[in-house]
Amino acid sequence: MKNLDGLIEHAQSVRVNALNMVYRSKASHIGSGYSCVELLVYLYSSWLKVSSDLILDSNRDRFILSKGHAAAVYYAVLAEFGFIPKGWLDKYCQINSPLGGHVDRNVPGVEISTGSLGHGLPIAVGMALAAKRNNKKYRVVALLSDGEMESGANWEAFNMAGAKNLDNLIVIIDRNNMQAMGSTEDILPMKNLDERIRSFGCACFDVNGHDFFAIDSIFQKMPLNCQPAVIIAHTIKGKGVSFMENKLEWHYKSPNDEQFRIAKKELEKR
Amino acid sequence: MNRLCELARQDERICLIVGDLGFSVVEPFIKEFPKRFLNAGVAEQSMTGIAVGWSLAEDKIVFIYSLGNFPTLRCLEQIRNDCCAHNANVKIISLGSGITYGQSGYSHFAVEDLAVMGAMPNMTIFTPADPGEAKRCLDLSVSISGPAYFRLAKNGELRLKEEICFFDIGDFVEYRSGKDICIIGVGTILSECLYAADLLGNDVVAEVIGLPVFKPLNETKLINLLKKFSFIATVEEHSSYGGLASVIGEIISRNGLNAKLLKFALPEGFNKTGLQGDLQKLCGLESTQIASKIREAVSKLG
Repeated sequence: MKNLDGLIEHAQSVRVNALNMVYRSKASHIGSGYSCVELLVYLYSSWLKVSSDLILDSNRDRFILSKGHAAAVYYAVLAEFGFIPKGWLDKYCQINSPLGGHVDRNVPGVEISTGSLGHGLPIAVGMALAAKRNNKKYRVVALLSDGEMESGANWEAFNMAGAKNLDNLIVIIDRNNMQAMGSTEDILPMKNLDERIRSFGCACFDVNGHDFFAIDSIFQKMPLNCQPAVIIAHTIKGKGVSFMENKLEWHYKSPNDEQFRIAKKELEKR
Repeated sequence: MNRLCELARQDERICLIVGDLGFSVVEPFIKEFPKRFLNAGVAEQSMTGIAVGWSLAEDKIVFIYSLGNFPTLRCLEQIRNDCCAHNANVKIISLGSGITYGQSGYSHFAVEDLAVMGAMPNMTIFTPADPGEAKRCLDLSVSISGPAYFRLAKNGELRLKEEICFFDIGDFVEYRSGKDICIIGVGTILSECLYAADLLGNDVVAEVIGLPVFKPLNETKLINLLKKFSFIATVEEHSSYGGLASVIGEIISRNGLNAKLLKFALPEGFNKTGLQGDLQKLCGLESTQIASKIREAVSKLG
């Protein structure tokens, strides 16, 4: 593992920037964003073959954030790694800002606009298939929410990915166990998610989605060169701020002055 | 399909995805271009997403082939968010326009598609009336970048015009010139419009035009023609809401044309089963019915 300290610092910076963004704009979904900070930071710092000068390179790796509501964190990551100026973050969700509340492809570095769940994986499958058919070496990574796994379109796409042995496809499921109305297990249990995925012809791995060492050791094995890989990343919604962790309300709320102050203090202490 | 194979020979960007439909139609394409073909199965939502991903990742023109509402209404949000918003080079071909598959019943009636697909941003809509127009539409569709929708009936329609088509996107096609009424048809129902004009004879001399490209329309050209008429009739195998009549009615009203609009369309929620011709008759879309309604309207005011 190279530069672990660096990654932790990047993650901290992303969390602070995203906090500022939702505090200023009064926008939502900070909890959903905080659960995938380490995954995004790892991908963009260490694994994806893409950078600000490669965004039009036909051989770049493709990344799709299917959980487009994690936009604040994703944009903070894109700014962290030089795709967009950090100054853009100040205007998040304001009029005439390129950065809105759901991921938009007009932002440099974004491949696909998302926001309605269940769209990213079929597109990723299409891209992976296109690469195979045209003998290209790039990899396609899609990051999905766990609540999103209730959408049938994802299972249509898994069906195709498995059938066509799309080993250039890597799917990450942000398993924070919460969706918009409560716990995923209370709403539609998915305890055997890994078995379901394997039954579609995909390999399935579990990882602690906040541990850079663990994430790195899984991604060292990727791609598998035999079948599509699905990584269930076990995460905590709102990770990083004590009063946001595992609290459903942070799917919706933006911090008030007092909460902002406390959250910022906690994040900067880490 | 023959034309698609010809185009695919000239343009290696052309790929084809089917939603498990097209048996005995798509085989020549599969045989010749196996790496450019995919059967997505009965899974239209992912089919549309896959088409968009395929098109965007490798700069391909991806055709989708299916029937009725399956590649449109079933996956409408994928069309809106993935296909249209990304201006993806995906062309959706759907057979069974209107009540073509009358005996199959309500599930197979594609009668809201013009309203729905017309509302999709960046979408070009092709509504050819015969095989000659369909071929021209296909050629036009690969010449433009971005999404398109083909509203086709089925294979084996009669040709309405012997000449080679050379219309462009936005153009209407004049089938017959007249002075008393302008009949506008969209799709294969145009044949009924032409028969109706024949029946009207010299009593009511009818102009007949077709719109092989339903969207976008070159309004200036259309207005220049329509302003000559006191009566305009729209004929469509589409629900009475949001289709041809709505579009033409808006053009008449917005441009202050002094014409009465006669609408021939399917009633909302039409749900009867039978042969296409019998169902057309039930809805007043047969040529004799169109002719008599027009004669009545014109004589009342004329």
